[in-house]
Amino acid sequence: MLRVEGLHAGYGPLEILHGISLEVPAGSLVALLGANGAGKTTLMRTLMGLLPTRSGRILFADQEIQRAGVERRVRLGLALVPEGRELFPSLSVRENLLMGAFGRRGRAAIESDIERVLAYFPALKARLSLPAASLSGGEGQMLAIGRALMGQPRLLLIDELSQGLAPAIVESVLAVLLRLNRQEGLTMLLVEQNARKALKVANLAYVLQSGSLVLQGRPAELAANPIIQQLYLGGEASAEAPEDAGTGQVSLVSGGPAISNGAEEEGGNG
Amino acid sequence: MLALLQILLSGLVTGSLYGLLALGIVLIYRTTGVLNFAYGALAATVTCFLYVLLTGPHLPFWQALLLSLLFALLLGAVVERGFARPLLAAPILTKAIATLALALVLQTVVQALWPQLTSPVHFPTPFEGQALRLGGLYLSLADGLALLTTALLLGLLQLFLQRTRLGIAMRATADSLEAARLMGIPVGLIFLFAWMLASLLAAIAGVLIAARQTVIDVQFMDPVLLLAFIGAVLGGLDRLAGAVVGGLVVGLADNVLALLLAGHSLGTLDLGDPGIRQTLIFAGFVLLLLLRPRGLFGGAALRRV
Ligand SMILES: Nc1ncnc2c1ncn2[C@@H]1O[C@H](COP(=O)(O)OP(=O)(O)OP(=O)(O)O)[C@@H](O)[C@H]1O
Ligand SMILES: [Mg+2]
Repeated sequence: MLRVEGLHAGYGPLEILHGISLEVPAGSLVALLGANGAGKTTLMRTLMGLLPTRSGRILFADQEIQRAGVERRVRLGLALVPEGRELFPSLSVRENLLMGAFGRRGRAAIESDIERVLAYFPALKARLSLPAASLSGGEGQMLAIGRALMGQPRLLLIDELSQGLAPAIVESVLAVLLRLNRQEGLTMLLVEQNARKALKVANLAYVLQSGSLVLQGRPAELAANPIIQQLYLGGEASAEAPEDAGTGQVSLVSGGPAISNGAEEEGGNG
Repeated sequence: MLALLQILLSGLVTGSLYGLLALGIVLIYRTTGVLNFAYGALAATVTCFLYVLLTGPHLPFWQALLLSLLFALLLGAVVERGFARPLLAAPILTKAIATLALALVLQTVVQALWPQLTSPVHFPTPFEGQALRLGGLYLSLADGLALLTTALLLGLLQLFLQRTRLGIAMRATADSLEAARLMGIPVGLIFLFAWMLASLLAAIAGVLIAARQTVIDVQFMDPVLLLAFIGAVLGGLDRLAGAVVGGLVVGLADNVLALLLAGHSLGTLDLGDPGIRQTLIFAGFVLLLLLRPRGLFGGAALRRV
């Protein structure tokens, strides 16, 4: 569905992403992990076209889109639930949903998709005519996801799903995303601070560090990786001091764009 | 009593015109972040264009008006592409100051093209000298048209912004540019459209004001713009309905002050002078801003997201 090859991007003179290569297979739910400032949001924004690609390729549904504008990428079926949600605060919940369907024609289909979103997130039903600014954090995230769904995306990018949400709400939102992925086959790339949760639901995971992918593989294997355990899962510290773990990670940088679990084995050796 | 009603009526007329102008100011500010001090010059430029059509080739009024409104749309588009778009990412103060330069440029061009407008000229309309009588109240036809037109425009604009896809997208863009882009909204076209719409509103307000004053020159909108700006800021600068109410408040204050101060003097100072009135309104406005920095209606920001 999505293939990224040697992607470089950044802000002004600053390069943040140093040659990212990854793949999101159709129908999968891929987790993207990484510490604060690793470049996860930068990657999401570059995929959407909010930030220009400096070099490298983005292939979406077999088309090169790294030079396409945001509008075209949205039309092709990309949607982003941005970090911080970025709702339209003065617009009503319903108007927010309508804007998610901006590029679409056909009133009836749009109305029935609003019903669909409300079926997934019943909490929004009573709020339809209220301004989005009046929503709670959980409702806001539901609206942000619902709004992205209104564009009928083929690939849904989600940046910081659980940011500022109570654990119970994260669970219920995650359950909806799982239903969308497993039952409706919606492909997803999920950025999540809570690595434990993300690894539990994903089919494939990548770890980003300082703008480069340092680990990739199946969630179960990653979860067993001692470095992941220590850095992201809060597992018990190994014999190594944290600084050693940090320098050890640099050696984990995986070479090619291919998805492999070689990195994980290297991790075992390091 | 009748005198007071009469004053309130003309307050309503001027207030609705200020409101119309304030609306355009807020529209531009909300969608493109430009505090547009050239708004009066835009209005004046189109009105002068209409004057030239009326007095040069002697076109029939309605035909000339139609051409002028088309010219207003074009002018809005040119200003957006040539002036506002390159400044999009600039700090808000830079943009505001740049609009002062734009106003100067517009006035200079008008003066160069049509030097007769450097000094006051008579602005001819079909409504001149006609009036309506409502009970004991007197309403000039130009004033009546101003009331009717602004009410109609405000209603239409409200419908457009609340009910149409494009209107909602305009509000969405004003709310969050980034999110609007994420929705696939063509924000460049939205900016262009906002400037064209605001320019049209400015032109209509300019023509209505010229029709009631019957005398214009290239700078005839300058004093009006100051009061319209005060109305916009009173309304909170970020809400369209607030702008209209803010404009009405300023218009009413202006007329009530005129009634109270007429014929009075302070030593050698004639309090009935319009300059004194403006100074008083401005002082009141500054005082009010000190007490309520977010305008008359600006409550706490509702952002909980
Ligand atoms: N607008 C910007 N201009 C310049 N640098 C930026 C900008 N936004 C982010 N950065 C820098 O880019 C790097 C990556 O930031 P990014 O937001 O992509 O990280 P992240 O992985 O999403 O972090 P977080 O978990 O905190 O959301 C950081 O060093 C950050 O300081
Ligand atoms: Mg981030």
